[in-house]
Amino acid sequence: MRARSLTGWMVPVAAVLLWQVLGDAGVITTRVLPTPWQVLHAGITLAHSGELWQDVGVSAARAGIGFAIGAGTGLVLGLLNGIVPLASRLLDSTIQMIRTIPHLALVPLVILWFGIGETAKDFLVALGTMFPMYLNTYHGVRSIDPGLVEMARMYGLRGFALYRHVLLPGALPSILVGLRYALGVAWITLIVAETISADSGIGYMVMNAREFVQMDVVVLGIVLYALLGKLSDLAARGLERWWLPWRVTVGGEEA
Amino acid sequence: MIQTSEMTPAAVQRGAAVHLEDVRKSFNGHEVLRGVHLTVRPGEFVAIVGRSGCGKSTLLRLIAGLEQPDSGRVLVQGPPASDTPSGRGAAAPGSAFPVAQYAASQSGVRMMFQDARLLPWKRVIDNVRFAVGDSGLVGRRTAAEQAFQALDEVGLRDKAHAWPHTLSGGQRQRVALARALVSRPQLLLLDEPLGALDALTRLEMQRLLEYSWLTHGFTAVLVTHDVAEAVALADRIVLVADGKVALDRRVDSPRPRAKDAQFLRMEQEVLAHILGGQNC
Repeated sequence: MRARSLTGWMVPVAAVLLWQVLGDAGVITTRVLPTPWQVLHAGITLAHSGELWQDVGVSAARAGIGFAIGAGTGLVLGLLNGIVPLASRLLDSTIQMIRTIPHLALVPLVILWFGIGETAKDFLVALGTMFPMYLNTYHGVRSIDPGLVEMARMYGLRGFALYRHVLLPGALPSILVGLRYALGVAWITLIVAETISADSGIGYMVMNAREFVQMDVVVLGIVLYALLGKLSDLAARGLERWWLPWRVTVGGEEA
Repeated sequence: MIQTSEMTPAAVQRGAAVHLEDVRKSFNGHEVLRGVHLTVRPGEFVAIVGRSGCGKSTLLRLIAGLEQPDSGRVLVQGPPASDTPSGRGAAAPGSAFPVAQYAASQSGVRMMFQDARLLPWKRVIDNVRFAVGDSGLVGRRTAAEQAFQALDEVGLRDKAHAWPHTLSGGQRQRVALARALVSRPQLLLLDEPLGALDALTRLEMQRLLEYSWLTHGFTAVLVTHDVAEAVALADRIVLVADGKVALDRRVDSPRPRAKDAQFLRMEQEVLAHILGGQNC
């Protein structure tokens, strides 16, 4: 297992080394792409001055707040529509219709509504994360084995007890898939929103650096987004391991 | 050497009685049950046999209150007051309920299905425990104790902390049985719970079922396609064919039943009746 995960790292490490060597040799000019070392150096400098942490903090807060609102709404709607047939008949087709609008197409409208402040970013992230969360929660509740629900009813489980012992844990694997997906959407949305218009955050840092042709900072911003995305994905996987210890993993762990 | 009629009164009185009067049920215009009359006495073990698709399971689901009859009456009557299990929602002593209300009152009607229907996200012990503790009347401690005791009864205490998916089919059904037993059922409905098990495991499970029934004194209604199983376990064998009760045969041989000549004769007789009837 250990040797295997090391094998997985061999190609990326080699690629980064090659990049560094080609950059040092002048094959790749710094105007096209700075070397990994230069990017790292820019990161260290910005970390020292404190700018880096401020921008990362602002971006993370936007992703967090937007995600909490959007995924929370999606979760509640998904559970509601999954459990209460009337709610599903009333709301599901409407939600499906709104879902077909790409939320990033709303960027101009959102800027007109909210300006370029925090509300605009939170709103976009919330909108983007709501649907994957809704769809997966709804699907999760709907695909619970009806035999288990029948059994639980027979044993007198009703209302909240039925929800707590059967419906929620039964839907949880699917909910967590939605959560992972929604986290990905949250970061993508934020990148687009921050790159188009912002006065703080990683996107602002990158666009600012572009004005002054600071290639190393531009690449640093991209790497930061990648790292933050990976980090939230790891967190979601950690939740899966913590909340779904009963799941049989077929074919071992995925990468 | 115990027979139902001679069983200790205390045990008998734990069981509920079942009355079906002219019960009819159709699905998509096809009439599956066409006027079924059946009475099951408290503490009795009745096996329902018949060709598949003839309404055996429907009959059981009607008794369970999972389906409603198109016409006719399904009554489940709780045991007399003297021996009503205290606490969790026993049916009102001595009174008869239309089954829907009876089920709604969190009665002592329990069912075992062909698949064990264990909650995959609960460990074995928690799968059993939730059947005790949902009323909130029993403390957490005693609920756990009762659950362990029930697992002891089915011989699976050492698997208490295992996940259901790690168990074999027979073990899962034993957990399902423990879950039913821990809730002190007055009526246990069995919908081919042994159907998917291998022959050896099935024999073991039959022994266990019989033993649990004898010690707990509930009423049992078993649907099975295996006539030998019916002869081995039941006080009465009821054949459902053509939507009606086509045969109602007492089995009086002493328990535990050996596969002797009498046993085989009985099996042959019931089989002949099944094969003699037309398809339904």
